[in-house]
Amino acid sequence: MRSAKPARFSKLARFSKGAAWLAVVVLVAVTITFALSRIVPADPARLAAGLEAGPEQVERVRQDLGLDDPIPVQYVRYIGGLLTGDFGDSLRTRGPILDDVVESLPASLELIAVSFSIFAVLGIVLGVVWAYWPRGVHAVLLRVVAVAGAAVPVFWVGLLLQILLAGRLGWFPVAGNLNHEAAGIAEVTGAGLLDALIARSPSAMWEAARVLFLPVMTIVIHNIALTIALMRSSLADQLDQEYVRAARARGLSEWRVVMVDALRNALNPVVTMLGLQLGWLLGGVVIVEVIFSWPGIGLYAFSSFQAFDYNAIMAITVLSTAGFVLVNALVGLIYPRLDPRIQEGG
Amino acid sequence: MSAADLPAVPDALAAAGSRRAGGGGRGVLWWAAATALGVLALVAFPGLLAPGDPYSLEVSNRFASPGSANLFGTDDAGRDILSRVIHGARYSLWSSILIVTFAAVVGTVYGALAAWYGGILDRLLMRTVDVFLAFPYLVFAMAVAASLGRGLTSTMVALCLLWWPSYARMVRGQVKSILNDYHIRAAVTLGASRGQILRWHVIPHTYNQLLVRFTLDIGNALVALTGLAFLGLGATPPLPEWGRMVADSKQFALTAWWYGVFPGVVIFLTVLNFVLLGEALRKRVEL
Amino acid sequence: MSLLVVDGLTVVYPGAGRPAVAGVSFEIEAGRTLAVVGESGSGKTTLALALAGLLDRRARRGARRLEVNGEDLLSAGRKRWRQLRRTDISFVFQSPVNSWNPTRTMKAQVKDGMAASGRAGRMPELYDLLGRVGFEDPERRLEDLPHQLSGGMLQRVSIAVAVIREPALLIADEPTSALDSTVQSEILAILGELRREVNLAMLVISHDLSVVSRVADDVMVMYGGKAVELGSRRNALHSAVHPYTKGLLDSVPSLDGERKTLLPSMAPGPLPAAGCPFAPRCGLAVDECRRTEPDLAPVGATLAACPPAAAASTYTSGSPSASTRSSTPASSTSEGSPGCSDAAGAEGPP
Repeated sequence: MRSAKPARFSKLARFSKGAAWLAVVVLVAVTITFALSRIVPADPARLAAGLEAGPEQVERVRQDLGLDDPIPVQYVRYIGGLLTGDFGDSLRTRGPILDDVVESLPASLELIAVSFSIFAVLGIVLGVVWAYWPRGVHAVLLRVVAVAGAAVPVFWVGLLLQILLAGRLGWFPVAGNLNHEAAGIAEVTGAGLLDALIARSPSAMWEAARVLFLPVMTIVIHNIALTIALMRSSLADQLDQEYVRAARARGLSEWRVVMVDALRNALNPVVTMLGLQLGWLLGGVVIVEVIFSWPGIGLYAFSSFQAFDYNAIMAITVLSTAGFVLVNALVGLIYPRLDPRIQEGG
Repeated sequence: MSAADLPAVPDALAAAGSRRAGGGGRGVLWWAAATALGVLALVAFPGLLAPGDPYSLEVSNRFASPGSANLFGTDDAGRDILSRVIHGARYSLWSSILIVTFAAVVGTVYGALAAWYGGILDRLLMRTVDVFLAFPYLVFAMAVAASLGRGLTSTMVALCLLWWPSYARMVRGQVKSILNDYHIRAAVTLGASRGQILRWHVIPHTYNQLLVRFTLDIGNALVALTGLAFLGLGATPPLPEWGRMVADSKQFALTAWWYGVFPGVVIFLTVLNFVLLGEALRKRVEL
Repeated sequence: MSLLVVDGLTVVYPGAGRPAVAGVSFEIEAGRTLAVVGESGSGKTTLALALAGLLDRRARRGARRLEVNGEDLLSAGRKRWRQLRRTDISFVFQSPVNSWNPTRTMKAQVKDGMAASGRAGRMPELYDLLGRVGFEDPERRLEDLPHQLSGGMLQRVSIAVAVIREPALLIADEPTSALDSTVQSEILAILGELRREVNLAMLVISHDLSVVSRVADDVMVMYGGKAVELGSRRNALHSAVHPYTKGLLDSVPSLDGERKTLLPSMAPGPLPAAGCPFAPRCGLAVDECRRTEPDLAPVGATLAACPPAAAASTYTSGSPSASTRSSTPASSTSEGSPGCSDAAGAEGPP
C-alpha cells in the first residue's frame, strides 16, 4: 500500500496545475476577444450613446467609457475588471453584464441539466443493450438513431418539433419558459421545475415539464446519438477482452461480469465524451434557446450579437470558455475512480 | 489538467460503424461515393441542374406548394426552392469543404512539426492546440462574426480558426506513434535520411485516417456552418444558403411547411451521406 | 467409467468454411491428464472453450455425447454451464495478465470468484494455498492491481482460484506459454502437485512438446480441427504413426543439433474443403486422402487418423492394438454410471 502523503501531494499538485491551466485558457480567450473587439466595425461609443445622439454626445460617451485611452490601457483595465468580477455594462440592457448573466443562467442550467441527465443515462442504457445484444430489430433501430441523430441538424429538428408537436398538434407550448405568475408560484431559483418543487405545486410542475419538453427533446436527439454509439463500441470492445471470458470461467454471473467488470472499464471514454458534451452545451444551447425563445444565456448571447453588444459577447465567450475548462477538470476527477491505474501517475 | 491528459475520445461515428455493428461495407461505400460526387456536381454546375433561377422573384407565385411546376414549392418571394437548394450547395457545401481543407492542411503541418521536433516545441505547440480546443465554437464564432462583420466569409474564418487544432492533435498522435514503430527504426538503421523517413514512411501512413476524418468532417462542418447561418451568422440574403433558408422559413412554418422542410432534408441527407461515406472508408482502411 | 466423455464434438463458427473442431472424441478419467497438442488454428482452444461452455454465442456446437461426471451436457443451458463452472469445471487461461480486469484490485476479483463458488467466507484458505504455491504475503499483495504483479504471480492466483473450488475437471489453455521459461517449470510443478492432491482430471492445451511430456498421461494431436492421433504419452511421443505428429516431433531441435526432417511449411491459403486437412502438407497423401476425411483408428501403438500410415503399419507390425488405457474413443466404451468422478472431491487441499 502506498502511504497517503504522496497521494495528497499529487492531488494538490494536480489542483494547482488545473487552476493554472484554467487561468491560461481564460486569459487567451480574453485576449483574443479583446483584440477582436477593437476591430468591431460598429463604433461602440455610437451604439452606447444611442442612435439619436449627436457627435458631441458620442464623444462624451467615448470618454466616459474610456474608449479614447490607448489600447494597452484599455486591455489592462478590462482584465482588472474581470478579476473583480466586473464584466462591464451591456450596451443593450444598460445594466452590468454580470447581473444579466446571473439572471439568465438558471433557465439555461435547468435546460442543460435536464437534457444532459436524460441523454447521458438513456444513452448509456441503450448503448449497453446494443453492445450486449448486437443482433435483432432493436440493434437496427439503435443504429439508425445513432447515425441519423448525429447527422441531423439541431436547428432543423427543433423547428420540425415545433411545427409538428406545438404548432399542428398543440401538445406543447410553441416557445418560452414557464410563466411563474400564471402558474401561481414564486420565482426563487428561476428554474421552473425547481421553483414548482419548492412551491409543492404539481400543476406548476406539470406546466414546467411541458414547457421544457421540446427544447430538451431537441438537445437529446442530437446528443444521445453520440452517447449510444460510443457506449456500444466501448462496451463491445471490453466484452471481447479475455478477462471477461476469464470472469465467466470463474463462474461469475452475467450481471457481475457485464455490469461490474466490463461496464466500468467501458465507461471511461464515455465519461470523457459526456464531459466534453456538457462543456459544449454550456456554449452550444444558443440554437435551441433561440428556436424556443428560452430565456437563458444562449438567447442572451444571441440578442447581444444582434444588437452588436460586444461587451456582452466578450463576457459570455470568456465565461463559457471557463465553464468548459472547469467541467472537463471536474470530469477528470472521475477517472481515477473508474481506472485506478491513473492515480499512480500522479 | 488539460484536455491533453484525457483519454482520446474515439470518433463517435467510428463507434457507430465499427466491427460489431456490422452493416454493409462495399455497397455503402460505392453508393455514398456516387452520391457525394453527385452533390459535388451540384457545386460545380448548379446552373445545368437547377430547373430555374434561384433569385428571380415572382410575387404572384408566392408559397406555391410542391408540384410539377415547382418540385419543392416556392418561398415567400416566389422563388423556386429546388433551384435555390441546388445553387445553395455552392455556399453551404463548398464552404464546408473549404473550411475542412484549410483545417486539414494547417493541422497536418502543425501536428507533424510538433511530433517531428518533439521536446519543448512539441509541448508548446500542443498546449496552444488545447487552448483552442477549449473554446466554445458557437459563442466564439459569434464573437468573430460580430467583429469581422456578418457574412459567409467571417463565419468561415471563425470555423477555420476553430477547426484546425483537432487535426493537429490527430496528426501529431499518429506521427508520434509511427515514429516509434519498428519499421522506422529499421529505416534509420538502414541509413535513411530524416526527409526520406518523413516522406516515405511517415506521411503516407497518415493519409488513410486523414481521408476518413476529412470525409466525416465535411458533414460536421456543414452542420456547424448551417447552424451558424440559421442564427444569422453566415451568408446574407439573397444568397440561397441552406441554413439561412431554414431560418427564413421559421415565420412561415405553419403556412408553408415545405419552405423549411426541404432545405433541412437536403442538409440532413448530405451530412448523412458524408457520414456513411466516411464510415465505409474507415472500414476499408481498417481492414 | 470416465469423468469426461466427448464424442463427435463439432464446433462451427458462422462464416467459416471448415468447422473449428470437427468430430473430436476422447475421454479423460479422474486423476489423469490429457494434453492436446497442435499448432495455432488447430482448434484446440475452441475445444477447451466448448468443454467449459464458454464458446461465443454465435458458435454452433454439436456432439453425439458430452458428459461430465456422467451428466449429459448436450442439453445444458447457460445457467447449468455457469453452475458447472462454479463447482465442477475450472479454467486457466493462457495469458495471466489478460485474465484479470486491469482496473480492479486482485482481491476484489478473487473475492468475486470465491463468492461465485460459494466460498466467499473462506479467503484464508486461499491465502494458505497461495502461500504454498510461492505467492508471498498474499493478503497484502492481492490489494494490488493486476499490472503491479508479475505474470507468474498472476498465473499462481489463477491456478489457486481454479483449484480451491475442488473441481472435477481443470482445463488449462496454454497455462505457461506466456511466461518465462524458469517460471514455466515452477507453474508446471505447481499444477502437477495440486492435481495429484485434488485428484482432478486435467485437460492441458499446449503447442509445446516439452510441457506435454512433463504433465501429460495421454496426448491428443489436433490438426485442422480434427484429432489426428491419440495415445498414451509414451506411445504418442515415441511411437507416433501419423505423419503430422511425426513431423511435429522431428521439428523439435535436439541438443546434439541434429534435425531430421522439417515439417513442410503450411501451404498458402485455407485448409482444403474436403478430405484430410493435412493432405496438402503430407508426404504420404494419396488420392483417397483428398476425398474422404479419415477417422481415428488403431494403428500401431496409438490411434491415428491416417489410412496410408495404417496400411503401412499392417505390413510392418501386423498387430494393431489400442493400447491407450484411458483415452479411447468414447464410442467404444459406452456404458456410463456415476462413480469415479467423486474422486476429485474426496480429498482437497488442506
